[in-house]
Amino acid sequence: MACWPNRKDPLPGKLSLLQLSSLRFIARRRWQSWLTLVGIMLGVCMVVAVDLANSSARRAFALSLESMSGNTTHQIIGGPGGIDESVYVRLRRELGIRRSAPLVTGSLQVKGHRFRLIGSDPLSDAAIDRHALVLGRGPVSDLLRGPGAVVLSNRSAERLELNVGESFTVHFAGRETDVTLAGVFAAENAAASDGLLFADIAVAQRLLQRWGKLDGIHLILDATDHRRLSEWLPPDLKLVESRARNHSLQQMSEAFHINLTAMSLLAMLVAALLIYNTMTLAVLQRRQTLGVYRALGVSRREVFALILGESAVLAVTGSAAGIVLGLLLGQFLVHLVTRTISDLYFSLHVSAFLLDPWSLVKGFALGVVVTLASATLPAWEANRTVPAAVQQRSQLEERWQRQLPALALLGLAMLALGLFMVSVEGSLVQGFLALTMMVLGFCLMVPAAVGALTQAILMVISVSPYQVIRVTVRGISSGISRTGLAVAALTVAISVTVGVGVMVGSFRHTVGVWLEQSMRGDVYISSTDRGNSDALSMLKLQLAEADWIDRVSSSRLSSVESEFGPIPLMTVSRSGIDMPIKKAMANAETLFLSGKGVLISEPLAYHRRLGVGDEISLHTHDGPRQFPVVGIFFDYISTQGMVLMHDDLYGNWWNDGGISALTVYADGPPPESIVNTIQDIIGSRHEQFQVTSNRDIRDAAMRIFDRTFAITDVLRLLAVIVAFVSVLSALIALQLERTREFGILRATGMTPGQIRAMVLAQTLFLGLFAGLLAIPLGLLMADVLINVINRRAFGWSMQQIMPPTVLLQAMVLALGSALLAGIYPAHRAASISPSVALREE
Amino acid sequence: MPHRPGLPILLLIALTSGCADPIREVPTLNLTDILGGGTTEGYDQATQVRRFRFPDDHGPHPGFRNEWWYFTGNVETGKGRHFGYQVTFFRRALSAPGARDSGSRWAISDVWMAHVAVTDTEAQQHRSAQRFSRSGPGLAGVSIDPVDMWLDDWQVVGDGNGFPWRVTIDADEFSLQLSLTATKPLVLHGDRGLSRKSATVGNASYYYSYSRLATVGNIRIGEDDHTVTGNSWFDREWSTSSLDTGQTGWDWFSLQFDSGYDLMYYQLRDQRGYADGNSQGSWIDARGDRTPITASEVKLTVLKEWRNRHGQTYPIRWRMDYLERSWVIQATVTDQFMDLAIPYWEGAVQIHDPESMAPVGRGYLEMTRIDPAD
Repeated sequence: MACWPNRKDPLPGKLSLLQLSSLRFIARRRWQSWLTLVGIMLGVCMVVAVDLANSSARRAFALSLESMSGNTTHQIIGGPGGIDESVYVRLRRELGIRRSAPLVTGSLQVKGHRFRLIGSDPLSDAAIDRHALVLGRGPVSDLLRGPGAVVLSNRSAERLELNVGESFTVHFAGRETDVTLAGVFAAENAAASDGLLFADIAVAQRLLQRWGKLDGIHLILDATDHRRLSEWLPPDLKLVESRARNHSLQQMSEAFHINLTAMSLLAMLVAALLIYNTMTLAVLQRRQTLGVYRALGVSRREVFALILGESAVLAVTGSAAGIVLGLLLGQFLVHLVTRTISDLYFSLHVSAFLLDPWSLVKGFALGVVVTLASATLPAWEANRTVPAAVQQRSQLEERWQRQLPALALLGLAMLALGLFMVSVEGSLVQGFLALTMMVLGFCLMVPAAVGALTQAILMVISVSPYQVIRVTVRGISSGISRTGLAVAALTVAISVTVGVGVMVGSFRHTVGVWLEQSMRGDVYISSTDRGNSDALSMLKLQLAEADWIDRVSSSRLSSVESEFGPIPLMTVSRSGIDMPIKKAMANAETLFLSGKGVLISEPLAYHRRLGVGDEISLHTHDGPRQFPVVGIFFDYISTQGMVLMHDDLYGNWWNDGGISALTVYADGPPPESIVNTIQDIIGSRHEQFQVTSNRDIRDAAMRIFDRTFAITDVLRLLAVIVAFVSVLSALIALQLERTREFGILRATGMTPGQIRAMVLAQTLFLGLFAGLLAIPLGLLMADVLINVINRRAFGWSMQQIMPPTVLLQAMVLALGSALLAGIYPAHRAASISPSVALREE
Repeated sequence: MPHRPGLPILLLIALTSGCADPIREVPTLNLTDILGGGTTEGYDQATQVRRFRFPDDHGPHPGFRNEWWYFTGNVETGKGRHFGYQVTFFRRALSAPGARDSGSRWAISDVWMAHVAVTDTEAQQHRSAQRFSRSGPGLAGVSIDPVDMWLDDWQVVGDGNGFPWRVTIDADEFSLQLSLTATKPLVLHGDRGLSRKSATVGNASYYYSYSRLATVGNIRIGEDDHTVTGNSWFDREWSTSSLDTGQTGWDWFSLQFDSGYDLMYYQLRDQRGYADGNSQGSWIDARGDRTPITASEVKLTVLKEWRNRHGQTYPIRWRMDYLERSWVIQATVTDQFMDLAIPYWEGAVQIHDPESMAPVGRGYLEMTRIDPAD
């Protein structure tokens, strides 16, 4: 830090005496000043990093969508089977709507990287300038260079280490196809085009095995054309506004972003406690000096300005450093966030770090404001007292002790208010507000709780012959202004790990049980060829003849347009329902199997306020139609929700019969051997199918689950680091203040080893208190996260379990970080020379 | 009609010079890259006389690289207000047949291009538009049973394989609704339809015309509709290569005389601007019988030139001497420059008697200029 004054530096000329003393103080208490800075920096860093990652991922989402729809005003969207390409021809020949372009798109893998394939007709695109955003005036004609020609941005090509003219393999649904890089282009917006693979529509249809079908038709429409097209459009197709469509797609991941923001705010809360702690410390340590100044005639205002000035220097320096660190961390986090969005919501091709300067401004402002606010209170307090009294540390502690019950009561009230808020229906944001209220309330109660705990221990050990232990414990309660804050910070941090740990554990458990229940088949076979399901149907007939197979059912996962936008639709041919049912009509199974109604998933029911007996409107080949909801099933795959429908009902309302997967229920043999047997049956057609055992699918699902929560783990770790710094700074402060006390103890015969042990024991007690207090708070947090936050965000209900390791982890973390934080202060306290310590008198 | 044998070269000039493009279709699309690289390998060539079959030969010949269906015409309202029009469908193969194999109907083997134009003599205005497409699942093409030529909603469709052929063009600024019926049999140019463009074997096309089609219908320009009648000319030509090095363009005349005679003549130009010895034409009498015209029988004299905004000059008044006959041929509108991806001058002309200057017929004139430096 460039502005850090060094003791040996010649003092700058234009500073007043007071300012000089201020600088001197900072320089002398280097350790503490550093800790203050680190505290501010970490707090700001966390908020900035998460905010950056969030905003970057959001913009990546928007950019991903924009780069596909370009400047088109409208899109035609098809049914589950896509749009028959003849529609496009008729659109141009019969209606003469020429500002239109077809799109065939899919997500595929190149050298282990995810790419979005954009299959377009460059000759049509020219009329709507669709890909100007990403391709600019790029060599669109390269697309027409041959049957396997693809085009990448130069950035993507560099990333894949590919040169023009080189051949490479793309993977789609288990199928490998060789293509040639026909050209690269320098994109106007590099981020938007990275991760996009452009191909001519003919090449795209081949890569995706999507013959005769389009995924969309992009349009630029004026009012007249819009009216003509709306009247003409076949009922199975839907005309939507591009902007509205993109917006509704983006909305899917909104709850996820709110969750992340909340996590970062929770981290900020921990950081704020830390900043407050270190700042008050910095002020209070100089009570004596300040008292002397006041006695010498320095005005209150001058003292106040002095402290705030000091804080401002620390605030600005720390916040600036926090922003730099946050930038670095944010770049790492954004990958986790975009990956989760791609896993859960929409395959994003944009993964670049898109800097939102606002995040930096917000983080900086937050850091400075919290720091100054933290300094103002003690500064004001120090000023209020008479000069002589200011010098006495005991005065402050006494006041703290007096205020403890009031603080605790206030905390209790906040906790109660938070509990009340979660007990009533409300939004996700309101849920987080309630959670914050509860955590803050709990924090306010911590110092009182620490006091009570020490009293309890003192009572228990009052008969103890070991005076040293009593001195140790009493040291905690006598420095409650320090220790209370340290324990509060540590408690919040540990409780976050407990709360989130229990929530994730419960979630994981629930999903595991659910997978077990809903996947009753032994082997699943899917077609890699989404345009052609005949091969699967034939395989189904073939398998049905095998005597070791009990039965084979088919299903199809696709997407239909609904009154709520596109939603996943699963159709099944089964004679029963595999999905665990949450709530259903008494005769739901009969109704479902006879095609008299549909089942909807829990998130869909929750978000759209649909219940059993309601109706849901889906866009069929005859236009919108109402379907009765006969039951609600548990589902953790789709956060938007899902509709489950029997094949027969589907066949009545959608023309594109077809299946995308088979479920094999075997009689006897283990799944692994069934997989092998089926592979033998498939033989040379193996490229067309993907055969997976029940267990492999479950493992894959759990892997995605764990990946989704990777970011949560990172945030938990950060919270603990912040708490650790907080404890460390509180302990150092405590020990510094007690220099004289240690001097006396040393003078009265305690050895350095005993002092060290005493200090370490004290910090261990602090850790223990934090650990003990974090458990109830953590469990409360878990409860709110599971039953309020997750429900409101995703509509999932989950079975709450208590992973024993979480509690153990919490205690180890609390004691460990406290002990680690105590090492330096203990060493320092032990090495105090009694004569030096007592000379101050 | 030998025009546009150098299509790829023209495209190259057009697209690299960044010429203005009325409907913004080209700038993002570098057609030069697609169409350049003029290998003739794998394509058929017009090396010998062939037996024509109709209506089959109205359809495309995918073995050849270039092909076009070309309508021009002069029509008038009942009050004698004159309009000229042009509707052309071009096919350009991107690769030799059989080179591309994909299960997709979008597999691109040809690029289709359509040019349309209308000349309003009274208002002294000329408007044009162009389109591009691939065949795809039916976006553009030519088929028979019925005869059908189209690119999106621009279309010429026959009544079965017979006449009338109905022209339906809507190009925003103007539209054409015309009905065309041949009043003379089709005529094969050159040697029984084999039209040689240079001494090099294979530098030739197959070429036939309906030199006179009675035309009735409607022309809309802006908001104004005009009911019109008149005569059209239909040219059909396909080839793989035609112009030789050293040939820098051509001037093509299709003339319809009030006397019932029709004349087609193309003059190929060499690098010095002189007429090439391979220039030739057809003299068609009222019954449709053809007399070949050789280069030595025709003398063309430029009487007046016009310079376009790119600095290229085009003669807009000519004197033509054919054996003992002479005419003055005058563009009805000076600027009938087709400022499209492939730029050329194509427009309506009026034929005058050189002595009395009395009008004796109408026709169409096409002039292409290839800068030898390119």
